Amino acid sequence: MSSPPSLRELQHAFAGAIVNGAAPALEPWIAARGIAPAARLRIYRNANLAIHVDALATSFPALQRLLGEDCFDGLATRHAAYRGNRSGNLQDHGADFAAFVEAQPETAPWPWLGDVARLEWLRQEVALAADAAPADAAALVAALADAEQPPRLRPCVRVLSCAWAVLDLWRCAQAPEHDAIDPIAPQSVLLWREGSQVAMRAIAPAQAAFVAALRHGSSLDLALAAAQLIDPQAPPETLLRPLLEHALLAA
Amino acid sequence: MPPSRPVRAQPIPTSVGIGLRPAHVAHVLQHRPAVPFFELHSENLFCAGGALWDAFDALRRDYPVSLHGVGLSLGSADPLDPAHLAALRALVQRAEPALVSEHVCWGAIGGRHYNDLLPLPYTEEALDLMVARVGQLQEALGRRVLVENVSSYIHFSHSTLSEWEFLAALAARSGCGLLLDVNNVYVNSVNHGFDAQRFIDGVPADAVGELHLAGFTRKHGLGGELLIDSHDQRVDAAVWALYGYTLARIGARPSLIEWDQHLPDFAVLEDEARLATEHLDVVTALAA
Repeated sequence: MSSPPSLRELQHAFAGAIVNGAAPALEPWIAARGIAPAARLRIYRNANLAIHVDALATSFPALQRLLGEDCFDGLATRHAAYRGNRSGNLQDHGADFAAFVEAQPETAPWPWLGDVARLEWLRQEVALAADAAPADAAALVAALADAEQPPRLRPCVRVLSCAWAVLDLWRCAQAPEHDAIDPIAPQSVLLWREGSQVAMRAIAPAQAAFVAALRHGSSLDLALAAAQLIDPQAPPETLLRPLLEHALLAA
Repeated sequence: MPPSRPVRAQPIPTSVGIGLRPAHVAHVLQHRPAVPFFELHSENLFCAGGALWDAFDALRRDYPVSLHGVGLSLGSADPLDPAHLAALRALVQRAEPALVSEHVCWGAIGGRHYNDLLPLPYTEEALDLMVARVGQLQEALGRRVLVENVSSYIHFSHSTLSEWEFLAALAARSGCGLLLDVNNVYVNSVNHGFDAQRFIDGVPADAVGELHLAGFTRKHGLGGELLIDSHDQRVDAAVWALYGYTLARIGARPSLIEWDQHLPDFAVLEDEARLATEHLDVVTALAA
């Protein structure tokens, strides 16, 4: 740049230095004072990597334990370079990390790691979801009597169905001294918040399909149909049971 | 222990508060330390509910609170992120903080956020943009905000204003207040070779609504001295001296101890607040 950069030019060049480690067009406009402009820019690049790696480590602690710190840091650093963050709020950072992890060559031998990351991201969503009082008995009766009107779930309810024993893997990451588990077993997980804690339990695939349909605003009839696509023999009362046991229908 | 009462928007007292990070929330709620006010990062409360909001609701019953944003990227050449601005507006309406602050910096360009407080060139172009953005923020929130000077490791040689001239003009033209981070002034004075007291002298005293204090680390091996605003140390002696000078120059102001990395026991932050209070008491006694 022979004339001073515009603010937009400067910021794009600065961003290039953070992502790629070099901004030759910007360096002439940085006062050296005994320290090379490239070294000054590198401070911001290193800080940026640390910010994003730390944020991912906070959101994905089980994945970090299963991968080991070095491998996790390598993936997180690559994610910072190629994907970055699309939000000024670090709580939003990592929504795409599960898909990124399972696309990386070093995780190919452990194809369940993407689902472990998916489960951890859902745990974060559950922890940060809006509060809502559970439905009382009268509201429950009214909601369940109207087959057309979709019952509302509490905002903290999530469900995950996958081809791997993802809940067992997550628990193994918390307490690796437990017996080895077989990851190759499909598992569906219901997540919700109890007090300030995230709760999880395994549920049947048909129950998961039922909850997922309700989460997307389906009526009871449609949710029942979605569950029976998975298990035509699933009794309707068993589909509702986890939601009633944990008071997950909203007032 | 402060009395427990359902008070909304308690004013920030002219005393020394502590920046509250999630790791210390349980301690504070259990022990209710005698801290005059707490400051929280706005983005920590962008979530809709959960434990953080439960804690915040409990906290604000007993303490005045201020909200300090770190992610709006006011100085970006791109427009403000409307979702972030809307989230901040909703938060301010719900939380009713006594003070709202952000930073004189940028952190996003081209749709990508770097989640850092990146330095601006101190040019008329950047000033015009910051004046417009602070105006947009104040209009969206329906209130005056404070904006904070950031530490930096880069000075752009095409800057036509000093940092303090930039801040003074920004406050005068936008009507915002200033959150003067004394540690950042000292860090920048070393990193960019200016007289820190000249910076303090150049800031309009009436505009300063709050002071920040934190610790830095010295980075070696780059060929010259560089201070990193690491927020992981006690306040340096040179910064305490500059804090004393600042109080004498502009008068007593609400002040805050910040510590963000390698968090120590809460008692260490209370001790730092006690040291700041000793400085503040001297100025208050002299003014009486």
